Amino acid sequence: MLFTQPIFFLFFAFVFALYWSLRNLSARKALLLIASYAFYAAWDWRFLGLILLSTIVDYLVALKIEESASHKRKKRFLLISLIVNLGMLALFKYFNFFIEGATDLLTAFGAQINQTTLNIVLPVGISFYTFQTLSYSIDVYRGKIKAEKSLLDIAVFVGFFPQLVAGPIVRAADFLPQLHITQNWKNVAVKSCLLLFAVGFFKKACVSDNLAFYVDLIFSNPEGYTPQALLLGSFLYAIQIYCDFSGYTDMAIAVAGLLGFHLPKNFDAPYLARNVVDFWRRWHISLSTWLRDYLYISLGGNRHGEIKRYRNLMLTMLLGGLWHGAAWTFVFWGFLHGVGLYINHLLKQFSSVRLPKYPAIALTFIFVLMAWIYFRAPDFETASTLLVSIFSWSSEGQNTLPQTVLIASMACALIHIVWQKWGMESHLNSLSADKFSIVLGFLWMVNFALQASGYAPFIYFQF
Amino acid sequence: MTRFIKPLKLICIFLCALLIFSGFTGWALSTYAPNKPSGLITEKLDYLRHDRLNENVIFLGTSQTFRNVNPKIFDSRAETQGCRFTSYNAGVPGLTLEEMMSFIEVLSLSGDKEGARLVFFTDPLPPKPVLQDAKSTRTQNYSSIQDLKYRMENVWSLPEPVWKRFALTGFAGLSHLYAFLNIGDISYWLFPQSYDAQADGLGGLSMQKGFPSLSYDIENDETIRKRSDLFQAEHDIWQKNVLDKQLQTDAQDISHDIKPRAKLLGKIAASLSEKGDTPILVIHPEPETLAQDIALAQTYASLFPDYKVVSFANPRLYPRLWDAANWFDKTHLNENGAKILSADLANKACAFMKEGR
Repeated sequence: MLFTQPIFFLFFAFVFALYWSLRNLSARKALLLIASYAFYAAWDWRFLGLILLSTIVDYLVALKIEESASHKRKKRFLLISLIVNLGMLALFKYFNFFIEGATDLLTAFGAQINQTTLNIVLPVGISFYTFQTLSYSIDVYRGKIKAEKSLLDIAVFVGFFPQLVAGPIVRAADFLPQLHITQNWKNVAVKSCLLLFAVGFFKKACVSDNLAFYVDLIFSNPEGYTPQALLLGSFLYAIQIYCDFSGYTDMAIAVAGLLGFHLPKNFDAPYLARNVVDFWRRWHISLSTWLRDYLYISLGGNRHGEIKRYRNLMLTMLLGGLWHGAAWTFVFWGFLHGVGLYINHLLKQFSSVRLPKYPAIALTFIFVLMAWIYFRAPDFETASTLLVSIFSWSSEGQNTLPQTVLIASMACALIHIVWQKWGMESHLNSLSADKFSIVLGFLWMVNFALQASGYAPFIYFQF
Repeated sequence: MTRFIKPLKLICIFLCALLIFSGFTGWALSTYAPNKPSGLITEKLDYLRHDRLNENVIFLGTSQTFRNVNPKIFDSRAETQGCRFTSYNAGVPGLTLEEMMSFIEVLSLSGDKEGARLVFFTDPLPPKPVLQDAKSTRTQNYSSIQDLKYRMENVWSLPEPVWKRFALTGFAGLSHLYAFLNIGDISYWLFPQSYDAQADGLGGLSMQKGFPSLSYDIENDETIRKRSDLFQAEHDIWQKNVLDKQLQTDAQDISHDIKPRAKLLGKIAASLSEKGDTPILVIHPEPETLAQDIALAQTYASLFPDYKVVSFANPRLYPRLWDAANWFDKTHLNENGAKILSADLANKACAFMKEGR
């Protein structure tokens, strides 16, 4: 069930009506849990067991950590959470990747190995909910929050359907308190949520899904296209992945908001970033802050000198890359961003020269764009073909992409900049309810008419 | 209660705005944007749209026409009887009334009408009561007010219980609402290359004169292959429990009034006739609806004595068509069955021609 499918609209209308008609807090939470599990089961009910396992383990671990007097004991319980959650990730997401890697390594040393891989299906959203539950146990371990006594609350926290399958990764400290109070309809920013959902739908169904076809063409056969088409294809992918993921997040935040819950912002115009550090403050914010708080800081952060700081930074980015997918191209993408961050810090440290705003934005965007090529390409060979053709501006391929795609993508970029610059969201939110309804009617007309044929799954579901 | 009035008012404003904007966009798009292609039906309409259409026999109808009538066999058998026919199978699986009327419209503008053209047509199908079908490109392409009228005529003339007709009306309404909202229309206009023309599982991957090669479809279309496999597994039981019994029993009474349906078929025949073609209703063999088909053929013949009808709904007269060995699934003949039916149809057509002279 995708947010863009009519079935989701029916599902949500039912949940929404029932949720607000219930007065009792526990009943509302129980409804949210049932709805969340039903939502997940619509993907694949078999993997509900994994969510339950993760929920129960972290619920018990957190209680035990809190109960434990000694630091050693606390650590031992935390280790259980780490083993279960990371073990699940390792098995379902990385098993074949590790096996293939080990086989390649041993073969390189001359060993004769029969490679065994398993036909494992990747459970949707596993990277998101395991990180979310892990952060809960770590926060309790660090004494930042108290362990939650109610299993129902923890289950809703882990399984909350708007953000269950593709984030944003919510912190227990932000979410659990919201479960302790009865949400009041009067506090719901209805206009803001409806607008955000419409905008998210546009990004996903009208922009990302329409561009997906052309991006797939370019990345499946880069040899067949002219350098202009390859550059345009890479540009389209940058738009596609942003609109896909931020569109999903916008809809998730809006859906949660209509139920009275606040989810954190996950994107903040990332392509307007002035440097790589700035980019990571604006792109997938909930993941970058998670990696900072639970990985970079756990590795020592910047506490043990410059060399270790850069080592920690690089390790964080490499693992961040690996989090996105079990392939070396993702790791390399993380590496490129690690290098970008490293250069950024060095420049800041040793030079007082600052690029003007627009050249800085352009330079950062070009860097991000080139790195996306490794992120999207199925292998290094494809990425290299694309990059070599673009930088040498020569290719044997003669195929081009239609002009309308270029015009439409430029129009999208322009709309995005204008939307940000003019603060369209707050303008529209300040309209009277009647006028707002008319504008919303117009937005949905545009959404329906521009919707791509078929429903493509969100790109980040696979992560 | 008063607390609901304001939200309801806002919802109404939203819906009105959505419908007005959509209506305006739809009107603008109808001027500039083309219809999306929808597989077989587009292909066959494009073929018939030709100014110099040579064919003087057209087979119009549903999947039964599509699978059961082989124009090559028809033409060659007719030739042995002294009739020179050049035929084309314009059958399309699931053909509804509004789609059939668009074929008739196209036929009226194409081809040479000097020698009256024979148009064999079948009873059109009602729209499928499936959400996916209501949203399909094919359904969306037939969503004008005129199409809605045809759709209602089709649904309300069915010999079915009232609740079923209401349900079908609901689906028809839904598909029109979907079309009114122009879902994906600008997207298709801007990015026609990305339009997802998925295989519809109707077959017709390799056709001659509009007739599909069943063996090629079985080999290359998974949906068709599955249907064939399923039928093969039940083949013997079906012969024994259904076909053999029908060979022995006489037609039974049917519970619903068949007259409205026969009148609808008469209307189709009249619109063909008005445009200079000779309409011939064909009732294909179908074990599940045998009683109804017999009644329909008789009622049609008595209501419209000027129009011809060929009914294969007669197991005793056409025993070879009631042999499971000649079937591909429970509603369609296989290539051999199509040979038999096409030859019989050619005999009839030739007889009509000679009668006419």
